[in-house]
Amino acid sequence: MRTDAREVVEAVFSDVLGRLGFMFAEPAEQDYAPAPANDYLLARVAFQGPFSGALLLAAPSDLCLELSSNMLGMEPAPENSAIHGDALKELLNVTCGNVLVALAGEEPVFDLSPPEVAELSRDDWEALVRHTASSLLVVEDEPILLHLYREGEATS
Amino acid sequence: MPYNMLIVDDSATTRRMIGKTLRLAGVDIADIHEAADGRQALELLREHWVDLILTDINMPVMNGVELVETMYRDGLMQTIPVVIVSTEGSVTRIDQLKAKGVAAYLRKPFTPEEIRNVVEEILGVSHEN
Repeated sequence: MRTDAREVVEAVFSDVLGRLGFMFAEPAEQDYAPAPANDYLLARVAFQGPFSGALLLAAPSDLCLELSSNMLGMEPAPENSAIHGDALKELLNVTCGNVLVALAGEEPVFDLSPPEVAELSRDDWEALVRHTASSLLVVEDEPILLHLYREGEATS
Repeated sequence: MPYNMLIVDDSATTRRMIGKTLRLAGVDIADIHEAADGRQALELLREHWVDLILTDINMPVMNGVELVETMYRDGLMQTIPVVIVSTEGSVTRIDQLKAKGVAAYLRKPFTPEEIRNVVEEILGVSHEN
């Protein structure tokens, strides 16, 4: 992913996170090495339009719990993983819509798929972190990862 | 006079957030009904009268555009104003939806003031502080 597109994704995400989740994101330092989480969630939304691809958002489940609490203004039950995933999906959905406007302008029409969420293994999380096209941010001392994939674009 | 609302979105989190924002904004609400997709919304509309519908576009089973198109083929449902609440920001898409009869378009993320202004303009009420 081109550096300017990555910067757009990070900036839009930070803005949306602040307005939806009342949380703040900072770029991870180069030597940032968070302790491995027990589990992670990965949300994905695909888009089709003048260009097509997908936006991924991954985070530790504990951070998703905090996100859903902030978005709902209440304490969701820790075992209610469906709500945590739902909050992550909505954060991703809003981010993607705004990223596409930032990248392509307000005229083009994009069709977004309903976002999906799934559990992510620690190994797959580590692989995403190592990917050169991923953005790693820090939110409430926890890592959060974004990855914009555009069809036909080299990712290395 | 309190209003009945229908919020249509496949995200339970979003439905709760919109309902909460409407109340925070001081909109006079009687009941808020919820549906996870357009088909559920239509089933609900056959059972309950609502004064305003807030719907997402991007939903499984039946999306917001399909919901609007179906409603506007029904003599009674077509009188219910619809506000699209979506993350999509295409001016072209917004114009297409308004041409189909959608009352307003609210782009996420929105503030309580923004949703209040849209709702009050459509329902023809004013906010009293």
